This record gives sequence, C-alpha cells and structure tokens, in this order.
Amino acid sequence: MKIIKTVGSTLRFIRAYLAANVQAAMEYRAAFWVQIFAMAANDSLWLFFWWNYFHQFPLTHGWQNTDIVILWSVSACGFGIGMAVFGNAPKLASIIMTGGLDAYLGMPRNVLLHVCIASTDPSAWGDVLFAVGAYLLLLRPDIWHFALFVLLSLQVALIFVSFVVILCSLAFFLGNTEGMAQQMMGALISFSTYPMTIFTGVVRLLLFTVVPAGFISFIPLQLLHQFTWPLLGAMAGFTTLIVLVATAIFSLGLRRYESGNLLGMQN
Amino acid sequence: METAIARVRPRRSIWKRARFALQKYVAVLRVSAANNLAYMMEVFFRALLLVVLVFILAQLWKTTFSVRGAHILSGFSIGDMIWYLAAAETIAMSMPALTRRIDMEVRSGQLAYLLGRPCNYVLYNFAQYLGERVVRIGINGAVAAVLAFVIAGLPHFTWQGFLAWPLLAFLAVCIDFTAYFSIGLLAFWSEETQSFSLIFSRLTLVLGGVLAPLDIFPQPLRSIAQALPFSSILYGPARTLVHFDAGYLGFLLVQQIITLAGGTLILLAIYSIAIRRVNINGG
Amino acid sequence: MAIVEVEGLHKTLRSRQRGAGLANSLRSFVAPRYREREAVKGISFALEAGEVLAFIGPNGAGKSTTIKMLTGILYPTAGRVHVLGLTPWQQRRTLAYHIASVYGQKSQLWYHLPPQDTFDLLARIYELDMAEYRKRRAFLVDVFDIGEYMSTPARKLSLGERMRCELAAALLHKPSIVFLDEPTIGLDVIARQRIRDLIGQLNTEEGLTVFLTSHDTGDIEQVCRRAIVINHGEIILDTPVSRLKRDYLKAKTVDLLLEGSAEELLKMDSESEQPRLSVRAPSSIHEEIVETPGVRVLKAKGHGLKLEVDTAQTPLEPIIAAIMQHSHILDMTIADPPMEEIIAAIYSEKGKVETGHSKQEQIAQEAEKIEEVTP
Repeated sequence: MKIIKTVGSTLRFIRAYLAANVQAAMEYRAAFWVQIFAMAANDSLWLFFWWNYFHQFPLTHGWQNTDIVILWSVSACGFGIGMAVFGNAPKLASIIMTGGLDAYLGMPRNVLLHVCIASTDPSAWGDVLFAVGAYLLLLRPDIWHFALFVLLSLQVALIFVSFVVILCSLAFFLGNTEGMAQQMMGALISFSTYPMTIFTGVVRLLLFTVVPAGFISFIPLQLLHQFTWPLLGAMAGFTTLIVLVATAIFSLGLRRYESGNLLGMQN
Repeated sequence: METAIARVRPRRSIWKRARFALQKYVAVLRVSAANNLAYMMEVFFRALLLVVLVFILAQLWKTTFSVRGAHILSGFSIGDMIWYLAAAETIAMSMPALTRRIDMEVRSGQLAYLLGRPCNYVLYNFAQYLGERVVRIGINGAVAAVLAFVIAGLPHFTWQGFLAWPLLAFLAVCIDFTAYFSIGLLAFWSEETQSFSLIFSRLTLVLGGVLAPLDIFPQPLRSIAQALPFSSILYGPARTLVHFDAGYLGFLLVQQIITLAGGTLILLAIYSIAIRRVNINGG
Repeated sequence: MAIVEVEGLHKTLRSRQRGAGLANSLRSFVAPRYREREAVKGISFALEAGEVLAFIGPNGAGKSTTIKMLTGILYPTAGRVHVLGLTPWQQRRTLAYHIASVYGQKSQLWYHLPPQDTFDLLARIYELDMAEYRKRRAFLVDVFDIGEYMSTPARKLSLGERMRCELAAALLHKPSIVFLDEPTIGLDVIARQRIRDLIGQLNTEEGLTVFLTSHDTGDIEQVCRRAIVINHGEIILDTPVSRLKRDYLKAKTVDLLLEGSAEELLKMDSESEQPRLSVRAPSSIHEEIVETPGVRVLKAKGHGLKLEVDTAQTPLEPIIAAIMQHSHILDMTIADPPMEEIIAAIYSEKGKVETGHSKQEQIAQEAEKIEEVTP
C-alpha cells in the first residue's frame, strides 16, 4: 500500500514539474514553437538523407529499407522523452561543481530525481514529434506495434538519462565532466542511428556495454520485427540495470559531497 | 578622423589581432594543461568524438563498397572517401562555443558594457573566435589525419588541392562566424539560442556533406545541396583537397564569397537592431 | 524542549593539495597529498522553540559549514546534532518537511513564472493537502501583502517584492524553524524594514523559530534576541543581543547641536592656560574634552559637536556640564555605538586575528579624525 502511495506521489511530483517546465518555456511562445518544429524538420531531413542512402546502397543481412526509420524513431523518441522530462540531467555536472545541489538537498524529495526534472529542453519535444510522426506515417503500425514502440521508447529514455547521469556523477570524483558528458552523449546518439551490421567484433561488444547503442536502437528494432518475450526481458533487464548503476554512482558521489571533501570545492 | 589616442595607439589591423588571439590561445592551451583541465578535457573529447564519427562513417562506407563490390563510387575510391570524411569532420568538429558566449554576454548585460570599449565588438569577437578555431582545426586535423592514415593509408592529394585548402577553410570558418554570431544575438528576442545553433549545425552537417560527399546524393538532391550555402562550408574545402577540380574551385570561391557577403549583411543588420535595443533599453 | 541541540560539533575538511604546472597536477592525481582544515572545532549550543537567533561571524568562520550540518547537507567529523529530535544528515528528507531555508543571494522562485505557480509547485513537492494549502497561501499572501504580485512573472518584480514572495514561499509548508541567510541583502531601507517586521511578526504570532545569518547589524538589533558569534570554527560569544551592547562597548556617542561654534569652544581655553582644575569644577573645556582620557572628539564643525565617551573611563555628566557652562546646547542625542563597532570589538578582543572589518573601522576612524578639526 505504501509503495503505491509513494509511486503515486512521485508521479504527481514529476507531472507538476513537467507542467511548470512547459509553462516556463511557453513564456517565449514563438521561440518555443520554432524550436520544436525546427528540430522535427531537422530530424526529418537527416532521416530523408539516410532513407535515400539505403535506397541507393541497400545493405544485406535482412536489412529492410524501413529499418532506418525504426532506428531513428526509437532513438529520437527515447531521447526526446528523456530530455523533455529529465531535461536538467545534462547540467548535473556543473550543478555539482557550483554547489547547486544544496538547494535540492534541503527539499523533502529524492535528490537525483529532483535535480533531473528541474528543467526541460524544448527542442526535445520536436524530437518526439518527429519520431511519432515518422513511425506512424512511414511504417503504419497496428495498435500493438505502436504500443510496443511507446514502451520501448520509455525504456530508451531511461537508458539515455541514466547514461548522462553516470557521466555527470563522475564530477563528484573527477571535477567538471560536463564537456566529456556532452561529447559521449553525442557519440551514443551517433552510434544509435546506424545499422549494427557495419560494426564487428570488439566494437559490437562495446555497443552493448559501455556505450549502450545496441540497447537503444538495435534491440528495439529486433523486437519490432519479431517480438519475443526473452528479448523484451533482456531489454527491460538492461534498462533496470543501468538505472540502478546510475543511482548507485550518484549516491556514492553524494556521500562524498556530504563529507565536504569534494575535489576543487573549498568552502 | 585621427584622434590623439589613435596616433598613440594605432588601431590594430584585423589580421594582427587574429595573430595575437592565436598566440593567446596557444598560450592558454599550454597553461591550460595544468590549470584548466575542464577546457582541455572538452577539446580532447571533441577530438575523440571526431574519431568515433569518422570511424563509424568509414565502417559504413567500407560495408557499402564491399556490398556493391565496387572500387569507385561516384568518382571516389574508398581511400578518397575516408580522407574526405576526415577533412570534412576536421572543420565540422572545430566550432567553438561562440553562440553560447554571445548569448551570455547579451543576457548578462555585459554587452552594453563591452560596446563602450574602444574596439569593435564584432571584430573583437571574430579575432577571439578565429584564434580558438584555428587551434582546434590544428588538433582535429592532426588526429583525423592519423586516423585516416591508419584506416586508409596515404592520401592522394594534389598540390593544388593542398594549396587551395587553407584559403577555402578560412572562408568557410568566416561564414560559420557570421551564422553563429547572428544566432547568438537572437538572445535579445528568444529565451534560448542553443537549440537554434544546434539546428543550424546539424543542417550544415547533412546538407554540407559531412556524412557523404554530395556527389553521392541522387539528383535532384545533389543540385539543391550544391546550390545551398552549406556545401561551401564543409563539402567544398574537403572535396577540393581530395579531388581537385579547377572548374569547381572557381564556382566554390564565388559561392563562398557570395555566402560570406550575405552572411555579413545579415549579421550587421541584426547587430544594428540589437545595438539600437541596447541604446534604448540600456541592455 | 530544545528544538535544536548541538553538542561538541566538529568538522575537519580534507582537500587535495595541488601545485601549479603540469608535473605537479599529474603528481597530485597519482599520489595526492592532503591538507586538513578544521572548519568547526567543537561547537555546542541549544535553541528553544520560538527563539530568534543571530548567527554572526566573519567570512570563513565556519558559519555556513555549521548551518549545512544543521540542515543535513554535510555530516560532521564528530559531535551530535538534533533538530526537532532528528539527526539531520541521517533523516534529511524527513527533516526537510519541517524546516525551510531562504538565501538572499539565490532564488527559489521560478524566473519566468508568477509566484503563484512556484507556490503550487511547492505544494506538490511538500505533499500538502490542497485545501489546507490554499488557506495557508491566502494567509501568507495577506501577511506579506503580495496579492498584487502573485500573477506577475518573478523576473518583473523588484528585489523587495521578490524577497517577500520568497519568504512566503518558504513558509507555505509551515516549517517549525527557518534558516535565513542574508535575507535583506541588496534591499533598500524601506524594504529592509518591512522584511524585519514580517519576520518579527511571524515569530510572535506563529512561534516560528528563526536562525538568522546576517552581516547587517540592523537585522541583528531589531529582529534577534540572542546572538551567537562564531570565529575560527568556535563559538566566542553566546549572549542576548541587549547584553552585546551593554557589555562589549561601553562607549556612548554624544551628538550636540550648540548655539556657538564648536571649534571656538575647543580652541577657547588653550589660550587661557589655566592650571588643571579638579573635575568637579570644570572650566577648561580643553582639558575636559581634549585632554581627559576616554573622550574622543569625532567631529567639531560649525555648530555640531560629536564626542565618543568611554563611560568606563570617565562619566558623562561632567563632560556635559562643562559644555553647558560655555555654550547653550540646542539639541543633544546620546546613543549607543553602531553595531559594526561592537562586532569588530568582539572579533578583535576575543579572536586573535584582526578581521578586515575592524581594519576598515580603524581606517574610517582615522579619516574622521582628519576631517574633525578644520578651522
């Protein structure tokens, strides 16, 4: 009973922040809409390019033309949802370095969650718009596939956010890792939008561990082609694992922060 | 009109200022290694991302070439392709955080203060930008060259391409400046400028031919992309380096100069509107 | 029951020593050398419910470290702390429902949204019952008189208006104790007074316990009833505010408006060359004022004469009497010295190092002396 209450309260908490974030973004209404549509248009352009490319140079090993759409839709949707709801996560490193965590520590909510939902990225909504539009228009899925798509996107969102949190939490130990986190995020997104067939050996191993692009686009692609319960289990399992790793590293770092002995921070 | 001050301290030419900025940035980098670890890390990871991207694209192209069983695609061999990618990414990944700096200066009101200084705000920023950009191109270029050599062996550059490249790269960098500076000034009218600069950069990447040389694009896409100014930033210099073509060089130079002129006009227009806003509202 | 109990609180901070240059940076990474600094060296005090405490100290004294330990942001090296019966760093989230912090420099209000929306968000954060929340909000809006600003985006409010909204926001969840850090910084005189009155009002009406950190002595004088002075990580003074002035600087400032000229008054008797008379029968102003120990002339210009009299060394009455003999006194004010001087005196008397503050005081005093006798 208590768990249900806590979950309910947490969801209401996230929803309240989401509403406040959108309202704040709407203060500059024109810019808000421009950002959304510009990002959606931008994503569409990239997809159009790759669509053409794979039309011209089809790959073997069962690669269908529409597969590129799935890769892009799932990763863009997941990324978009992640950055829309947890848009403050990429700024975690600089928040740690400037002592901004103190304000959140004084609040009666889970610190990591609170920090991450404190702001939104308006262009992320454009990613979601693009992703849903592209998936619906170009693949014409039935209701089950669309439901699966949404479920997978939510998991991908958690993977993206956890990835960023892990890298930013290293700031507790190594100093300002914001630059590094940004570039690694870029690398993850890049790897996620290319067919896995072009990668072999060690690289493939990396893409399922350290830079989890395999779980962001490749596994969802397989699931949307041919659903199997074990594969979904693997996906959910990895998502849970990375979320736990992220919260664990953050907690460790927070403990260090609370000792006051943080690198580079003198009172 | 010559003022007393101008006689005592002559206004430095833009080139001299750029050189000083370059020296300053090299010095900053040297000192940075010990003190500004965060800045060095950012430059380092940018170069790392360049490696990642060139690697991915090289893999993609190698697979494409082998699936097609071809040695030449649209006039590019696999070696040419990889060196092209390296050259294009070197420029693409060397962009400093210009928009963010201008945005911050506008938003914090520092702009009003900086305008009062005896040097032109635009040129001052250009010099600073140029210094940083050249250093990054140097680092990226070195890293990319090593990577391309490892993957594809020695390049087949012509001496004409090699000579033309610095000029083309310089013009490309100037065009970038006009774009990102103008976007930064939009801070007067928008809550956030980062997404606009991101969108512009991504447009440049796809239409400017960093994913593939424009020759690979099918018609009519190829003609459209080549006509658009983005191609003059990335595709133009990289392709000239790899596949020199005198006819195309002429076209490219004209395209770059027209784009630069257009960009400068837009920049000055936005700048003058912004100045008026500062004068009326006081920043 | 004490609402805050602190016993033997210690905090030692360890920081990595970094040299300059690449070689030293690498060395510090591989084989680090640590430097330890005792930020808090054994602090003990207790706070009862409803108290209004001023927590004073120069920069680097250990103030913010102590407050962070009270709110659970830092954990101590040794010692015990109980706030509302809870151990802050162990039960931080539980404690957070019952305390509030307001920082003068940082804002809790969302920049682009009207305070109304921040309030609603806070209601969600603190899991308040909606009906209760609305009543509480109405009450606070009334007390802080911010009704007309509730729908204006925070960025358009003046600093004083924003501060009132900040305070109201902090009190929405009915905390038992509120930590205020420089709440009046940057405010104009009227706004400052208003904030002070509001804090006082909430303390009286609701029994709100206030823990105030401020460099503004007006805040301390008017709002707080007890002061703890901390320096070098230790409590050097824990006393009611009223006693601060009584015990720590017995000098009074006497401000006089004379009918005649003040400079003439002081100069007059240097020519008379009368032998020094007893204090009981003063006739030489020069002796009384200029030569008597414990009397300092702060200003003598035109009709204004300002003296500082150390009542420990010499009583006030003969001085006044001597002046009255030589000139009509049109107006007279006898005042306690400014709080800055008191604090500076405590720091320098009790602390071993002169703070920048007292140095500033010395320079200011020298400057005053120079301008003082200008014929």
